[in-house]
Amino acid sequence: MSFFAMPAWQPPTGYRIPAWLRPPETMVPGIVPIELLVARTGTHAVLVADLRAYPTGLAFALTARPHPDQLQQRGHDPDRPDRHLFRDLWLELRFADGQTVSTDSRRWPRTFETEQPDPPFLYYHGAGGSERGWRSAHWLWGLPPPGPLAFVCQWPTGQTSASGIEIDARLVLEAAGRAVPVWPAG
Amino acid sequence: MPAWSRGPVDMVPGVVPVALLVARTDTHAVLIDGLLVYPTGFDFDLAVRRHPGLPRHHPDPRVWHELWLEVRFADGRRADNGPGPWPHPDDDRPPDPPLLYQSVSGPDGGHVWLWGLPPPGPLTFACHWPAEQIPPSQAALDAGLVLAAAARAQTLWPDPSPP
Repeated sequence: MSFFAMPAWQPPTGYRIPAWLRPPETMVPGIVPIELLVARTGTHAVLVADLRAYPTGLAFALTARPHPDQLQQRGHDPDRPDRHLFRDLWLELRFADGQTVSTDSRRWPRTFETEQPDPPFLYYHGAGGSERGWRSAHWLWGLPPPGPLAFVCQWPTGQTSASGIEIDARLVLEAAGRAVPVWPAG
Repeated sequence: MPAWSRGPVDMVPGVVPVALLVARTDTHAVLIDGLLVYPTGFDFDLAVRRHPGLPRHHPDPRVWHELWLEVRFADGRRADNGPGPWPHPDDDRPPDPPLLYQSVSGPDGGHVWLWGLPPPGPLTFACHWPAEQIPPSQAALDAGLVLAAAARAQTLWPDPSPP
């Protein structure tokens, strides 16, 4: 090979996203049969939706929706036109045993990518917005203990003060029990 | 966006508490889940899973274009993701339901909107993916689950009561 002949690019091989950072690919989830209206003002609403439970955790989406009268606002912060209105939307999950997790990535342990963190650990898989609202996808590593499970949100930039809703964690635990392997062993 | 192309932004959908395994081979599986229902139709996720024993795949954005998907109603009406005349988004006249409309597509599937609700009876999801050796496959659920979820959908901002 000459100096100028570059080897063909090869994607990294063998790497798999650790189990604590995403739902298991080889499971059919159990669906948690609820949508949660976490907060609502005259102009916007915040929902926790698409709750899918696995034996190792819970996947869900955090969404913010504008009132139809706000659809022409393009979803951007008037003071920071480069930022989506809900970019700083904050969510915390509160468990019956007193533990909490939140969407604040500053609480993540520094080694979360290489070392399995103690559950519960809340990770996220990206977010995006449009004039129709905001959506971010989250993965809770670890199932909640039995008892009340609270979803509390706060939107620092304005209209939504801390607001929340509480469900019985049994709904999540029962859904996790309904998850099945895509490829049964054997 | 016209009403037929998306779920209404001002509603909390009803959830169908079911995930469907539509196809499975030794190497791939196709799942339908995340069925969120409104009075005008429903959203769902089409997910392709690859057996963990396979070598890591290259991201393949062609799923939506290569994996053929069809939704069949009990009365014989059906909608698929094949190329076909699409209604223009600026056209205010709603197309005849059912109509499949993809909103997001990625290497592991996509997010799909179906305009129209099924009649009572079986609601069938069928797929076929020759490029990945997935033969014609299908799975069905009771459309009653979808209709019951539609009835649970709620308006986020109910009209204020008259004085």
